[in-house]
Amino acid sequence: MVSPGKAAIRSILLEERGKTYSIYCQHCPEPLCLEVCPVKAISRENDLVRLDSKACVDCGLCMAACPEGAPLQDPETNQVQKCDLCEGEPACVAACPSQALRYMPASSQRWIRFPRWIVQAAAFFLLVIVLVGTVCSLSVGEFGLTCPVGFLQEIVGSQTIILTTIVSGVALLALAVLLGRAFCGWLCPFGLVLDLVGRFMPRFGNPKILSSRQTKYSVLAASVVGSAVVGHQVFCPVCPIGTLCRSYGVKNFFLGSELAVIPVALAMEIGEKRNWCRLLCPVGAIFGLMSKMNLIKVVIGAHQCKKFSCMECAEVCPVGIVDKDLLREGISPSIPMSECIMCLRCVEHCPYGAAKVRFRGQEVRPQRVEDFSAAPAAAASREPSS
Amino acid sequence: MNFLEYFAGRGLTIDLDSGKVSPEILRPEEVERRVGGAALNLALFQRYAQSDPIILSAGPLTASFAPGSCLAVMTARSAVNGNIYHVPLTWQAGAELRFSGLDYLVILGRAAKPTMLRIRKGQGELSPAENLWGKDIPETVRAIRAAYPADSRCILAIGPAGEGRTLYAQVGQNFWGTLDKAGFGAQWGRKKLKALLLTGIGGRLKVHPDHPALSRAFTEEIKKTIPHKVKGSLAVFRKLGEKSFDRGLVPPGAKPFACFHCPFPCQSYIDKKSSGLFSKKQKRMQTTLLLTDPGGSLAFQHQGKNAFSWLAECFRLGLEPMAAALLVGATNGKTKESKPEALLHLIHQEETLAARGVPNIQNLASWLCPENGITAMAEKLGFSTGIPPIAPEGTQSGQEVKEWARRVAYSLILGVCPILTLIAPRMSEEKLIAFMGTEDKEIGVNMGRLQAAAHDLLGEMANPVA
Repeated sequence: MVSPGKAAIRSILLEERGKTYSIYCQHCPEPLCLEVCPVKAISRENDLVRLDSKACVDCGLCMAACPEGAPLQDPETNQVQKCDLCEGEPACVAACPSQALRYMPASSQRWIRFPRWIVQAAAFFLLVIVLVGTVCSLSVGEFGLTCPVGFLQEIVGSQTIILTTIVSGVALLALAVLLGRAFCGWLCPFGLVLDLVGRFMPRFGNPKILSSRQTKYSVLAASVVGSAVVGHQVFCPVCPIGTLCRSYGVKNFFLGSELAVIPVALAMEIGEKRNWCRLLCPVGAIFGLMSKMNLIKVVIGAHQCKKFSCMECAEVCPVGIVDKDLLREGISPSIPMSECIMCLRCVEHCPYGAAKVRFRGQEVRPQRVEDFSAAPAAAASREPSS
Repeated sequence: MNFLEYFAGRGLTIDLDSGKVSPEILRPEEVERRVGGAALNLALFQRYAQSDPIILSAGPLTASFAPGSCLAVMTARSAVNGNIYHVPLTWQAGAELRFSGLDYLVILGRAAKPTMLRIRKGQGELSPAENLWGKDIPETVRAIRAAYPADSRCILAIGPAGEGRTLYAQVGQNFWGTLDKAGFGAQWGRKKLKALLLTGIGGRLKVHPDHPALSRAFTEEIKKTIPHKVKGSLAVFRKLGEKSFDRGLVPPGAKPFACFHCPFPCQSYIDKKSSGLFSKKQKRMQTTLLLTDPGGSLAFQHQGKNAFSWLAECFRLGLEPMAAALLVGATNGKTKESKPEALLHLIHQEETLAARGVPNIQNLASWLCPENGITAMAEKLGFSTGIPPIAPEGTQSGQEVKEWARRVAYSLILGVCPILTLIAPRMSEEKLIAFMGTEDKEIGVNMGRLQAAAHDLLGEMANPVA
């Protein structure tokens, strides 16, 4: 006997918008239905949220509490029911003719943290402790790297262009075209400090006055214009990145009076993670401008996302650019690459493979996973069929 | 389980004259002989011919685990030429009818006032629809959904064209057009039947426990043989050899849409917002257009019109797009009239394609159907010319027309989508009949009986006008 009306998965077709939404239990780690159930008929065992139909009194509170609206009422008996993943062999997945429904293990890419921490630590060690010079203008043999903001200020301040410095000046910008703001997420020594300090910092949110991400572009413009007016680099003395390299270097250990800027930048972490990078850093701003042309992007495919029950990507994003509201509506949020620091924490933490790195122009929809045998976690949407 | 447990021939006779709805059940011999769908419709039509019937029925495989089991068939006399036509209704119509506990509906007579018919839990209910009369199809659908929010997944309705009994009025399904090319909309208008609401939610159907597994294996087999890289309407256009829509009109990213239990989505949602083809008013009214009528789009395209914009307007008014394209094109090729004006002008005149010297509206298309004669055969057999004249896959050269008729006949009897059976050569009747689960060969429908029913249908349906 089949009865689509009794299925614990339901699809809603908004014809006028051409959109289909499927409603099914997400088996949340902290289910609201479980919390509100007055007779404790809902339990969570082995990552599975179950409804004991004998204990259930069909009050419908779980339906009201669930942000997905997953518990459903039988249209004939009014009995409340919900998906139990058919004890590991979901019938909807088996019946779906287009394999839009998949049952696959939840697995996150936790390994990404190791290369990131290693690269961040190595960059810090090299730039702050070992290498002569600073990241503002670094040369190793014939190879040179110059901070693009410092380089710009130098040009407008001195009104001189030294052709040999152009290559080192634009090298990091070329990196931004390839990899976006990967410098901020992987190489910036001050970024590592912010990441470490940020782990222990309480958060109180940003005041409205500090909420505009455009401020960093104003700081960049002001630095360039100021340098042109006064004839030398005006931002570099207070740049936390340069200050860190100069003041803590082997030769200048704890010498810089400039050190005062670092505690100020660190204090900003009380508002939000990486507040300096989000709001004020002109180096990030210039990389952000270049990132608008970059070749790779981070995407979050809403069709693989578990929406309400997770939001892990939004929680871990250090620059807070994942739009939770869009994800809740089942829409893939557009990640602004001028703000993304390419730390890949979203990719690392997403248990459902919804966050991923793609080339510009590449289709967002992931490749089909042919092997969906093991473990819990249902995904994607489509017709109930059975 | 035997065949009659799947398809018992339960129906309703709705007499619009008296407002009476009577349940009836066919004799088992009759069901076994006619099997279902178009063949059953024809028998019922002949029985009630005096009362100008409109028959809507499902096939025995409708809403089953057979791939493409979405189909209901509407049979009536054409407003255009008086011949009998079978119009396939795809999407959810067949499934809703079957899950409501019914296999067919017979609508007889004419109502005195505008009426709406609501089918739910095996019961039919006629209610006044004066408040809906005069509304276009989207307005009607929205009004019905507001009145019955939980029960209105499938609404068949007519618009101003049907109310005005324009010859080329079409019955619409939800917000979009159907494959009705026979002017059934005008028949509904004549009967003052504004809308039919089919609700199967909560209903149940018996299936054999082996069918889900059988369905999975069969679907995999089918998918190996059907094109999977191009989906949606574009796939159908390409099958027809029509490439004009490849030039960005149907974007590759357009969301493909499949009917009930179909592995091959053959329709596409066109996003009006991102398309420059629609007027501001059209965008405001609906954000998408579901391309349910490949022939209609092609007809406007070949008239040099903005196909989708005109198609949307036809769906709104409940006007058959292919005929509308031809008549608008023939009447005022370089018209300065706006779309609504031109189409409303068309609604209020009794012009026929024959008067325009065009016997076959699909002559418009670049794929020239008369070359393989499929459209002429469709006209002759009374199969809706909306069924794309795709040469059936895996057919020997020279056999296309015969094979097209055979496959469409089986589809319309069994209740599976004819487009899928034309595209997928594996969708043979031998394979499909397995989903009837007839263990008792004496009572059920076997291959011989199915062949006889198809033979009868093809033999009896020989409309005089080719």
